[in-house]
Amino acid sequence: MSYDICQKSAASLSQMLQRKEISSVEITRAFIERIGKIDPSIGSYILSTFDLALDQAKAADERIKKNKNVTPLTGVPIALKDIFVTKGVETTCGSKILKGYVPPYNGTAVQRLLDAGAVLLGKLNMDEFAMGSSNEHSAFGPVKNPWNRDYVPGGSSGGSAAAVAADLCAASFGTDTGGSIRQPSSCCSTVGLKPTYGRVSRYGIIAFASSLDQLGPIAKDVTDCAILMNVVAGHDLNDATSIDAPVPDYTKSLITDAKGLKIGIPKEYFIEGIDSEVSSSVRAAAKKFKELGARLVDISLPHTKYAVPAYYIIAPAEASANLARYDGIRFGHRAKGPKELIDLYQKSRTEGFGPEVTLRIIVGTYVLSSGYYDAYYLRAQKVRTLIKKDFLKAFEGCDAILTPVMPTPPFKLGEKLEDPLTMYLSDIFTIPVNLAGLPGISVPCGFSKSGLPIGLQLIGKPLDEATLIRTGYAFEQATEWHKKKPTL
Amino acid sequence: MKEIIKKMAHLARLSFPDKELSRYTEKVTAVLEYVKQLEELDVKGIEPTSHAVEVLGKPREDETVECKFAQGIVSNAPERDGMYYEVPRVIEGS
Repeated sequence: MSYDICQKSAASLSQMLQRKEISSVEITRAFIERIGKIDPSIGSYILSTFDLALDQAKAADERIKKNKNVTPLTGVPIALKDIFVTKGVETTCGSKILKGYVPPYNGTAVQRLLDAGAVLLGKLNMDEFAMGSSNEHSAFGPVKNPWNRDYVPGGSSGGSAAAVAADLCAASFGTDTGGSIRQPSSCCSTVGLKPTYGRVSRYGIIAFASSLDQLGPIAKDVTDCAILMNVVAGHDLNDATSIDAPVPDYTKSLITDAKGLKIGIPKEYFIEGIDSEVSSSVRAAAKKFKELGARLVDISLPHTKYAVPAYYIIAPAEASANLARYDGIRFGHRAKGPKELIDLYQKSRTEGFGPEVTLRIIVGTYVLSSGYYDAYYLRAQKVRTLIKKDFLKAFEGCDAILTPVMPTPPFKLGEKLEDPLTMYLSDIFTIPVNLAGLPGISVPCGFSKSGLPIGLQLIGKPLDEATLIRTGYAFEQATEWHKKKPTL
Repeated sequence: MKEIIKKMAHLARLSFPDKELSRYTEKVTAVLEYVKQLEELDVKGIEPTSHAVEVLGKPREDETVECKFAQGIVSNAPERDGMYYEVPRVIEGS
């Protein structure tokens, strides 16, 4: 009985709660029991907040009983990537350098979720400072893919995707700087939506690369993504880059056909080297969209191959500046017995950061330093303009773009750990979207012969998450992929 | 290259023993070699993009807002004295 509850979507749980068929405390207890039983073999939670969750569940039950301020999230247990600043709850960003940091405030998205009555089960594992595509770069150990525990769950929001796939929370949130919501969603057969840059406030999200970071939902289906977006989207004075534009009701876009929509297929995303099972699954999805009434159009995004190199200049540059704040003085790890102030900085930082973060800080410092700035950073920013223009031109002829999320199914734990460049290439199809600031959604579209998930990506025009939700929903409802569950 | 990486590490307030420095030099060099392919593109006359979405930064009234969690901020410091952060001595003297 209790596992049946954990398998349900947030929307179904909400309906059961509002019909008073079950209480939030009962649902929360079911998840607590399942996390205790299953998560030791997955590793998706860094920290559980069960006492807090049960208090929140009681409060939610009270709200439902009195029928006061009941929202579609009231009483629904969720969990957050440990990059979300949570008041009174330790927030580490997957790093040793933030061990022990207890934020004195909630980020905007967190506050909106709590105000809506969501129940927080805990904080989810991630690559340190969101740098990675496999969740192996976490100071708290790797996360395992629920579909096959020898494989990675993707990254950097690997804990978020694995927890949703393994039914260890009803829904979760992640962040996406180069693919970190969409890529793990593809690896774990969940639905992940990266909104337009600025659509959701980044206030209270620990910064990695500020011009690329965006947060968004990772859920069991498209309907849940729409519900979660309704809660977090919108302007916020605390984030100067958040966009002051009207937010539609995303659940209105849950339409089961794609009539009248033009879907672009970029030739640069179906190149040699892409796994044949991935390619055939996404091509089959394109056929399905045609059946649903969409028109497929061939498009070209000619600068696609330059996105990853441009990103690996821009993102480390911004990261090296953002991560300068970790100095061992105001929060987190502080080295013992420093000789003087500089020594304190150096020792605290060298001890506190893991190898991938350290590598990126050095790369970022290099490309920003005098003498190299024009050749690397400025050139990368100009290439970013070319990539953005490719998309804007393509959108003159289509409403959404269909691509694979990643070039291969999930890879084995340890397989790419020692070679950063091969790891970086697993984000080849998601990175361009961040550089252009566009919204993108990952929806399950198949499995490899060995049973590993494959996802499709739909890319939208700026602020047009609604079309992604519509196309994603139409595809999901016409297929069975999202209903499959891993054996645990 | 190793000397340059040592300097970059110092600028970023990081320091490594020689063996690790060699390892990082190798990895940074590989990344820099890889990103060099951007040189294939002619970017003359192209404006750089620093933010994908035009950030205009709306001006707002300059109002004093009370910070309600100063205590919560300072209490995260690994070493402190009341509401002060403790650091190693910076200025020599009595």
